[in-house]
Amino acid sequence: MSAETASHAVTVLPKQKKDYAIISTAKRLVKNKVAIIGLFIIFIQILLAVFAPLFATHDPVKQNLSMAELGPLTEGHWLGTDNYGRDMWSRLVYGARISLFVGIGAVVLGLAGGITLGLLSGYYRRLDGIIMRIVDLLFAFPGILLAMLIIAILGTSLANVIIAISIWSIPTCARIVRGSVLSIKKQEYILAMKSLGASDMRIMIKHILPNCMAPIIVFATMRMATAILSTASLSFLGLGAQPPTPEWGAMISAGQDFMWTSPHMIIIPGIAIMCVVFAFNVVGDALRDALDPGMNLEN
Amino acid sequence: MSFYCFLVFSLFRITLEKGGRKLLGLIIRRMLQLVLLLLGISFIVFMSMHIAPGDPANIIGGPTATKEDIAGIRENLGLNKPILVQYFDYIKGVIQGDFGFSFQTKESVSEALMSRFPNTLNLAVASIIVAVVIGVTAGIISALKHNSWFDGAATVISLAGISIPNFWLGAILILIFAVNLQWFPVGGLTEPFWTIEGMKQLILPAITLGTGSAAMIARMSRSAMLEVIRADYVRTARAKGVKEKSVVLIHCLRNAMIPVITVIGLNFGFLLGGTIITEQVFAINGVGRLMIESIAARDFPMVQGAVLLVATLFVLVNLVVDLVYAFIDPRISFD
Amino acid sequence: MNRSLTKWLTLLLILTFALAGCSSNSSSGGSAKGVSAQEVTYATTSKVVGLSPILTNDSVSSSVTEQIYETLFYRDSKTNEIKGLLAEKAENPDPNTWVITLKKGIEFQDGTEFNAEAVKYTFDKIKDPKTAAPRASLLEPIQSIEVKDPQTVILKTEKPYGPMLAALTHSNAAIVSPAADKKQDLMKDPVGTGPFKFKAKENGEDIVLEANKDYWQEAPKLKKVTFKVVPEITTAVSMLQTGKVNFLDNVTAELLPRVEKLNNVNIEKKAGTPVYYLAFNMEKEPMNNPEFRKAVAYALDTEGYVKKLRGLGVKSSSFIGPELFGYDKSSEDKAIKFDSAKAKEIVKANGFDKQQITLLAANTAGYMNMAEVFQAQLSEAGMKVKIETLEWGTYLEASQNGKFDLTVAGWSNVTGDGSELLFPRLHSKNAGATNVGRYKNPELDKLIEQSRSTVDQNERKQYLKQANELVLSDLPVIPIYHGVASIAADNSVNGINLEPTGQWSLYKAERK
Repeated sequence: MSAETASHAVTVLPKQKKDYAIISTAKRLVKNKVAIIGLFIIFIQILLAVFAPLFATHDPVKQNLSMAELGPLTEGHWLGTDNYGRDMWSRLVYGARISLFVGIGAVVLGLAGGITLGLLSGYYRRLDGIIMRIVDLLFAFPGILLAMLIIAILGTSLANVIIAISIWSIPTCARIVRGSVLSIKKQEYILAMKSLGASDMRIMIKHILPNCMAPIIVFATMRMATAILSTASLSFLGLGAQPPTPEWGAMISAGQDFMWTSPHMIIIPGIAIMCVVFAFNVVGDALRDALDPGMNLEN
Repeated sequence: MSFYCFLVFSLFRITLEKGGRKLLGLIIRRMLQLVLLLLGISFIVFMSMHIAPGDPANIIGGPTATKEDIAGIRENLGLNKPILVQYFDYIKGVIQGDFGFSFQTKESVSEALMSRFPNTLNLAVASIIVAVVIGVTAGIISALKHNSWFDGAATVISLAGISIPNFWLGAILILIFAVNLQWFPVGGLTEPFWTIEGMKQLILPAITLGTGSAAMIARMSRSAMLEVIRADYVRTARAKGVKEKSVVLIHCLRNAMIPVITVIGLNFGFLLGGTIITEQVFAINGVGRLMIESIAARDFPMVQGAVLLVATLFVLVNLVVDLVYAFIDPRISFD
Repeated sequence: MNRSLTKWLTLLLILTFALAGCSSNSSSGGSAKGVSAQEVTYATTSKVVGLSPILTNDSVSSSVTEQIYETLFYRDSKTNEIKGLLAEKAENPDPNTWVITLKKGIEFQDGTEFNAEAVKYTFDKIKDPKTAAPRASLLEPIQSIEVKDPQTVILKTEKPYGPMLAALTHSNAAIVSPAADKKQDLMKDPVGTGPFKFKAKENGEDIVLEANKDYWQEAPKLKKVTFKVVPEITTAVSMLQTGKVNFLDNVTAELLPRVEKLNNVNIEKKAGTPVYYLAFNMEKEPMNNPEFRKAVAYALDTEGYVKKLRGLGVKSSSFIGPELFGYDKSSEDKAIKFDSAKAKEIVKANGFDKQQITLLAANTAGYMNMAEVFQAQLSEAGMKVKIETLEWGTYLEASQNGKFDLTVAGWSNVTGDGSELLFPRLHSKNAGATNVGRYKNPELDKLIEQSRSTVDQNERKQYLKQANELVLSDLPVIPIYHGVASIAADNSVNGINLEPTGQWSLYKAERK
């Protein structure tokens, strides 16, 4: 029997188990009413983001100084206009695209870094010490401060915001993955595979990684929420998207000065951020309950 | 300030009496780690501030300064020396307790930090109090009235709580409670926290900053409580006829404290980050705002000092959290 | 063991509370809220860097030092004439010599006598390279400072220096007490001759001044002035509304409608000296093409932009603004007027629509607004323009190193003299520093030099007019608007003297 087939024979079992797990997870998720709302909001955001040009009624960066600061439900601008006379609804729609883009970008980058560090440090004892010290170091920086330093070095732009925010999800992710690796590594089928001569790389990616997926998925969903919120905070400090990009945080920041005279300029993007962040939080939360039936105390 | 020092100190004292040598070992180990961590952080911050575009001399000179003006300022700040020499000079100073002088205001960095630190600490502690009071209460009631409308509402509200951008919440709280209703002052943190005026100044910023943590604590204490309620010893206590109230209070609360403390420990970094924005919105003169201003002004010594302070604090808080674990739950060991 | 622990805890508790009580009592003194108290609080959005006029160069610090120190001369904001403040008069026996007679009987706040020695000490200190004064260039033309007698100081220049007196009105040329400067750090502990003196720093950053009872003129009416740092301007306005702050300056156009609605607040505006403009990087294609600059000038609806400022900006096509020495109304017609059709035509004809242009701006509100509006207008004309915003510090560096195509810039001009705008901003000697666009035009250089080296003020005006018109035709910069200084103050505060430079004096102010 070659090592190839042996490893197949061993992996089939957990894989099948996983398929069942996905179905039952989905079932549990659907039972959670709040999670449905969350999924619905995320669905709408994705829809708006993908088909932004179809939903937008105006060019989101086209100014019209004579039509500035119109309130909602004005003729032609159902959510009103901002201080440059740009259509709020169209900006909101394009903003959905940006916030989704930043969220996904930051989370994917952060996961890539965190998973790599976590796998290496959990798998190789020799690397563990040094990697965990780096992770501690990242942990001891308040996230916003780290982001500010990174942006100070790289410059103000949306791409750099993504990098800054992704770095700040590395330590948590690395710890989660490391924990899973440490517990899985000792399991018999991994040991068996090792003795059969499977490469470390293969074991890590094909066998260990799929088994830490559950906490990673939960973490990633929750991180989407944090990433979107953090982008908004950075934009508030003037370190986010470049104008005239219709980023939601930047819209709030610009709208702040008009809070007393045209409150819709701060309320509308604020609610948009809240809804989306809420949605990711709810779904992440429900996923955690659904993926880990032991924790689930309902019923 | 001294109040907090006292709290921490007495905690060490008590845990030492309880845990003895083992704990002392833990503390010493953590302190050694802290030194290494601070060295690493200071190096990273130092290098990144120097790599970052933007010249402190340029900022001090302003747009009206000529080339000669700026060259003079650079020389004066010692920025013409090689970077590593500057770094070692800095570290040498720090070892002797000298954190240098601000490029911009020429004040001593340690004095500047110490004058702002109490404000940040008061804000952070007040927001933790807000978070714990709201979070634990909501969590316990949700757990007791498990699956009721209150439970559902609390879950949704707490998730919404984590989702509000705190600069947005701050601006809206000011609009409603400080300007329209005039119940609280608009901003500033100028009075000591034990006076009525001082507490009033703290409330809005503490709510702004504490909402996120409150929500997290509510969720964790709810699930911890649910677990505890079902645990055997609580059933036994109930069966023995102990009154419902004392069951909840004595048995459950004590055990439910652990996740709460975990959240506080985990959230402290987040909280310190949050103070940056809260201090900005509420015009509070704290370390967070000092940090933004210094980064923007490329005031290297000030940024360094502030970052080191925050990192030290973070490590200490986590150490304290570990000690509190031991205090609450004797089963936890320190290996 | 338990009991001893409890005892120990209680003891410590009492001790710490006592300590905490002592340590913070010092800072919580005057919170009396009587309206009749002659006290005012001013809100600033950034911190006061320091209190030495020699070592600082930011408007917030000068707003404090203005109250503490005085200059030899000042510009009368009504007549735009330069008059003596600490000085009695100035004479020119020859174009390279300035004999300045000082007023008698003036003392610094520490009791030191104000005399020619103090003037020499201050100017020498500013000029000393070791001081690294940010505005050393202000006194750069002065070669030597001689004390003739206690009341007379003689300034010698190598070449005639026309804007000498204007330079001496600059707040960074204020006179400091030599005795105090030798003894203490003026950044923290300032001593001048002004109507207010430094009292304390509260909460780590708020500056408190008190009346100087021994002021050489009539003592000020206000007893106490607090400079409070409130980083968010919206928060500052809320504080003004609730009476926690009594006045603030530089109200933004965005907040003006809100401030105007407040019943308890008056707004004072005064046309000012700052100019805001668009600068071209003259070392790059296509900005060095006059046709391109013309197209940009036609494309910008500056009038429309100024309307958005709600009265906080004055529309003038002249680079030397209406409040500056050297302004001439007839120059207004020489400038290009907004014409979007013409702009489109030039853009098309020259293929300017193909190249990506970066518009650089500092990320402070005013500059960002300009960039946002002009990016839209230039795009309208068919150009491809991208905004790049940078933090203030990075912006200064990037703009001086020429890392931009277009940039929105400003010049506040505290001296109020046209030469002090043209020389730093457009003279080839300053290219790559204050002349961010690296404009080099020998013809303009010559006119600027003549305006500086002539002592006859009428002749100077002629040179400045010619220089200004040359700028308007060659277009290294496009003037957008001229600033309007503003103050929003509580009804109970009277008599703040707002100057066109945006600085203000509280000497005559009082509360009712």
